[in-house]
Amino acid sequence: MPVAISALVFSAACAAVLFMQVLSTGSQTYLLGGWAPPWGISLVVDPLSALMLLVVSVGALLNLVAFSFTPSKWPLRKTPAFLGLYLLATAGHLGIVATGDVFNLFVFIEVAALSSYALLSLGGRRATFASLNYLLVGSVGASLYLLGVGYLYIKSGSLNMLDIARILTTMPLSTTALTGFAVLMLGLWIKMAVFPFHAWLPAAYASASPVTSGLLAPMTTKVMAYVIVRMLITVFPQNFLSAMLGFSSMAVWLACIAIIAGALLAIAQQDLRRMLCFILVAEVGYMLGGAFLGNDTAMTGTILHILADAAMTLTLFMAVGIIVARTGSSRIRDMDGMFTIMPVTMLAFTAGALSMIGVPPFCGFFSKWYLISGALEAGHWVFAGSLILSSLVNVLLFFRVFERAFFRQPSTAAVQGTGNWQQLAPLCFIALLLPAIGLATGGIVQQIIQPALQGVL
Amino acid sequence: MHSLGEIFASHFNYIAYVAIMMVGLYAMAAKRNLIKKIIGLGIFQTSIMLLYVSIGAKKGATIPILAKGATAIRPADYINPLPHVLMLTAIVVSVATLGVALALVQKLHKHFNSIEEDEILKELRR
Amino acid sequence: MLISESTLPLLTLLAPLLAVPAILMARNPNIREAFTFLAGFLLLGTLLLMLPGVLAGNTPEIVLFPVIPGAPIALRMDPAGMLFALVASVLWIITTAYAIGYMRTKQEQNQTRFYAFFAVSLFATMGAAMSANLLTLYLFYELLSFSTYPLVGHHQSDEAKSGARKYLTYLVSTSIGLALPALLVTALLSGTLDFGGAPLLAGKVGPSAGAVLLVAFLLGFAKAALMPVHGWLPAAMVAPTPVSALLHAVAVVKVGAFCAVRVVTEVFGMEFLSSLGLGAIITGLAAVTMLVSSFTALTQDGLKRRLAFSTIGQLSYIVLGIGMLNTVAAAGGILHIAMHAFGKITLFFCAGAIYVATGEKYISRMGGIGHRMPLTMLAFLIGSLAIIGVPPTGGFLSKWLLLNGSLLGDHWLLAGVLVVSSLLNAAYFLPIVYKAWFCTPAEAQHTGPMREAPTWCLVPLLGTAALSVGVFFYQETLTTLATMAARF
Repeated sequence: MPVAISALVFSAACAAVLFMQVLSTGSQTYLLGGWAPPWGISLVVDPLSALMLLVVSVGALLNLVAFSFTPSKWPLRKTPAFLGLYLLATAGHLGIVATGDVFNLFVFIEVAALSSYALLSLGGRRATFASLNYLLVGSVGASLYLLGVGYLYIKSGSLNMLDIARILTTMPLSTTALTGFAVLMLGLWIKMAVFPFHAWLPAAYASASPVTSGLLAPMTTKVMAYVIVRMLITVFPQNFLSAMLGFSSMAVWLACIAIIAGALLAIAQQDLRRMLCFILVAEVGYMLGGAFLGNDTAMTGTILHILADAAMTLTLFMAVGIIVARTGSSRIRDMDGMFTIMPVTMLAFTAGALSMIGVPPFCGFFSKWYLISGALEAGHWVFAGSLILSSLVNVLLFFRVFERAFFRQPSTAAVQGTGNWQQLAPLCFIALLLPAIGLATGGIVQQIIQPALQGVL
Repeated sequence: MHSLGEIFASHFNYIAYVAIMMVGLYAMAAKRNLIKKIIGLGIFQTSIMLLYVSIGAKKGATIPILAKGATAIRPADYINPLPHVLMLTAIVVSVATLGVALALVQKLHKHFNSIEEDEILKELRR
Repeated sequence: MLISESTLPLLTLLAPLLAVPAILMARNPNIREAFTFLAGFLLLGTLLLMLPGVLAGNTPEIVLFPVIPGAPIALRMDPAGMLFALVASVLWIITTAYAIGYMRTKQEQNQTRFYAFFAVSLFATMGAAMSANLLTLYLFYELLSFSTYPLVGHHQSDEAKSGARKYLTYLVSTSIGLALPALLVTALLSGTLDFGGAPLLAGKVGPSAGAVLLVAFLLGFAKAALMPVHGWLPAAMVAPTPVSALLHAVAVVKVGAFCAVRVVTEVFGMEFLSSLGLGAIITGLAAVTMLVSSFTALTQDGLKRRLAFSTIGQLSYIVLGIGMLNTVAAAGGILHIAMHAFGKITLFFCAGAIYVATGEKYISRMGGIGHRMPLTMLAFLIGSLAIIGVPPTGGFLSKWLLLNGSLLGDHWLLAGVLVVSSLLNAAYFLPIVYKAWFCTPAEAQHTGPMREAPTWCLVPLLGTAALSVGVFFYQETLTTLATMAARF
C-alpha cells in the first residue's frame, strides 16, 4: 500500500513538473531505446498531453488515497495483486496519453484494458460477468482500432503520428486512408462507450468495487476521448473530415442520440451509481459531438469537457463510493438524510452535481458553454438542444437525490462510524478543484488548447 | 472499372480477412456459450493479424536478412518485416486477453456452475 | 484612502460570504447572529463608501477571472446596481433582526443552516447587482436559485418539499432552457457580453429574431415572475416568513426584475427596441400579468399567498416601466425596485408577526385583529398604502414617475392599466385593514387587550414601515440613482 501510494505520488509529481516544463519550454520528446522516429517509438508530450497526464495521475492518486483509508465492505483480500493491477491500469492510461506512435497506442490501450477487466471483476459475481462482457466488447473495439492502424500503415508506411500526418498531407485522399480513419474511429467509439455500444459501461462500473469505478469511470472514457481528439488534431489532416462530411455529421447525430438516450435511461435508474453511469454515457456524447462538429470552438469545448468531466466524474464516483463503503447501499431510496450523516461527502457530491448540471462557476458550465457555442456556430441546433436538455435532466436527476438527502430524516440503521480525514481530504481537494478549474478556463484555453489547435481544423 | 473477378483476385487477402472476421463476430454475437464467444473473439483478432501479415508479403521476396557482403540492396527482394513484428506484439496481447477471459470464465463457473450466458443471466436476475 | 475604489465591489461581494464559515462554526446562537449582523454592517459600509463615487458618475470595476474572451467574471458598480444593492443590504440587517424574533419564537429547526444559506443568498444577490456582464449575472442568478432552495424547503414537511421542488423546477428549467440559449446566441452575435458599452444586440438582429430573444430573456429570467412563469412564487410561500420577506419580496424577485432591466437597457438598448417596435411585447406581458395577478390576489385567503400574487403584480410595474422605453418611465420602474421592497417587506413582516403571535394564516380569520395587535396592523396599513401608491409613502414616487412616463409616451392604455391595478391593490389590501378594526362583534375572532408579537419581530416591522414613509421625504439619493440608471 505505501509503495503504491508513493509510486503514484512520484508519478503525479513527475507529471506536474513535466506540465510546468512543457508550458514554459514547449513539447518534450523521449525516444524509447534511442531510435529516431519514424522507426523508433517516441513519447511526445505537448501541453495538451501534459495536462492529461496530470489529470490521470492525480486522479488515480486521490482515488487510491481516499479509498485506502475507507473501511470497505469489499475487503481487498488480494491487496498486492489489486494494487499491482491498479498501478498497471494507471500506467496504461498514462501511456496512451504520452505515446506518439499509433501502434504503441494500441498496446497501451490493451495494457490499460486488460488490467481494467481484472480490476472490475473483483466486485462479486455480477461484476465478473459484466467484466467478461466488457472484455468481449472492448477487445473488439481495440481490434478495430488496430485494423484502422493497419490501413493507415498500408497507405503511409509509417506508425509515428507526426510522420503519418506529414505523409497523408502530401498525398491525395484515398479510399484506403478514409476507410482506415472510419474503422479506427469506430473502434475508439466502442472503447469510449458511445451510445449504441454503451451497454458494457453501466454494467461494469456499477457493480465493481467503489475504488475501481472511482479509478476507471473518470479515466477510461476521457482518455479515449483524448485519443479521438489527438487523432483529429494531430494525425489526420483537416481534409479528412471535410471529405467525410457524412461520417462526421453521423458522429454528431450519434452524439445527440447518446446524450438524449443517456439522460432518459438515467431517469429510469433506482441506483445512484447506475444513474451516474448513464450520465456518463450522455457525457461521452458531449465529447464525441464536440470533436466532430468541425470548428475550433467546439473542439475547445471537447477538450475542456474531457478535463471537466474527469474531475466531476471523479468527485461524484468518489463521493458515492465513500457512501457505499459506509452504508453498503447506493440505492437512491437509501439516501435519506445523507446530508446529516455525511455532510462533507454530500457537499462534495453537490459540487460535482452542480458541475454536471452546468452551473457557473463550476467547470462543467464553461465546457458546455464552448460546446453549445460551437454547435450554434456550426448551425447544429439539435446538438445544442440536446446539451440543454441534458442539463435540464441532470437537474431533475440530482435534485431527486438532494431532496431525499437534504430534507428527510436519516434512517437510524444507516449511521455507523464517522468519516476520517484521510478519505475526506482527497475528496474535498477534487471538489474544490471543480470551481478552480472553471475559473481558470481562460488560462487553460489560452495556454493549452489554442496552441494545440493552431493550424488545425 | 475492374471486373468482379479482378477485384477478387487482386484483393484476395482483404476478402479473406473480412470473411474470417465476420465468422468471429457471428460466434461472439450468436453463441450462448461463453467459451465459444471467446473463441469467436480469437478468430476476430486473428483475422486482423492475417491482414497485417498479408500486407507485408511480397511475391518472390525473402526474409530481410542481409547476406554477408551483400552490397546492392533491392527492396523488392525482401518482405517488409515491420507488420510481422507488430503482429508478434498483437499475438502476445491477444494471448493475454484470452488468458484473462478464461480466468473470468473459470470464476463465473465457480459462482454459477455454468458457462451458458442465459443460465447465468437467469441466476443473476433471481 | 487605504482601499482603492475598484476593490470595493469585491469587498461588498465577499462580506456576506465571509459570514458563512463564521455562522457554521459558531457554537452559540447569539454569536452566530452577531456574525450575521457584522457582515450586514460591513456590507452596508462598503456600499456607503462607494455611494458618493457612484453618484458622481464613477463605475468602480474589477475583473476577477477572465474565463471566456469577451465575458470575464467581473464586477462593476453602476447606479442601478447601487440602488438595488443598497436596498437589499439595508433590508438584510433588518430582516436578520426580525428572523431572530421569528425563528426563536417558532423554535424552528436547523437555524444555523438557515442563517448560513441566507448569507449565501445575499452573496449571490450582491453579485447579481454588481455584475459587469451577462455571464456574471447569469452565474449569480443560478447561484441564487440553488442557495434559496434549502430555505424554501426549510420546514421539511411534504408541503415544503413540493413547494421547493416547484420553485426549483420553474427557476432552473427556465434559466437553463431559455436564458442560457439566449445568452449564447447573444454572445455569438455580439462577441462580448459586457455591460456599459453600446447595447450588445443593437443593429445585430432583425425584428423577429429580436422578438424571440427578448421573450426568451424575459421568461428565462423567471425570477421576475412574468406570467406564465410566475407559479413558483406562490409555491415558495411555504418558506419561513423571513425568507418570504427578504427573498421573495426583495432579493430574489428583484434580481429577476433587475435582469429584465439589464436586458432592456444593456442587451437590446431602449432605442434599438423602439426601432424594432418590440416595446409592446414587454408592456403587453407586464400589463397582462399585472391585471391577472391582481384579480387572483383578490381571491386568495392565505395572507402570504395574497401577498405573493401582489408581488407578481408589482414586479410587472418594474418591467412595464422599462418596457415603455422612455427615461421617465424607466426611472419609475427602477425606483419601484426600492419602493416596493420597503412596502412589501413590511407587509410580510406583519404577516409573520400575526402568525407568530396568533398562529393565524388566513385572512378570513383575522377579524378584529387590530385590537389585539394595533402596532402591527398600523404598519400593515402603511405598507398597503406604499404598495397602492398613496402619498406620503415611497410607492407614490415610483408610481407617479411611471404614470408620467406612460403619458409622456402616449401609452394611454397602459396608464389606464396602472390606475386600474392600483385600485385593485387597494381592493385586496384595505379590506384586511378595515376588518382588523371595524367589524361587528359577531365577526371578531380576536379581541384586546393588546398582545403584540415579540419585540424582535415588532421593531423591525415598525422600522420598515417608517422607512416606507421616510423615503418619501428623503428621496433624493434613490431618485438620483434611478434617474442615472435610466439614462442609458
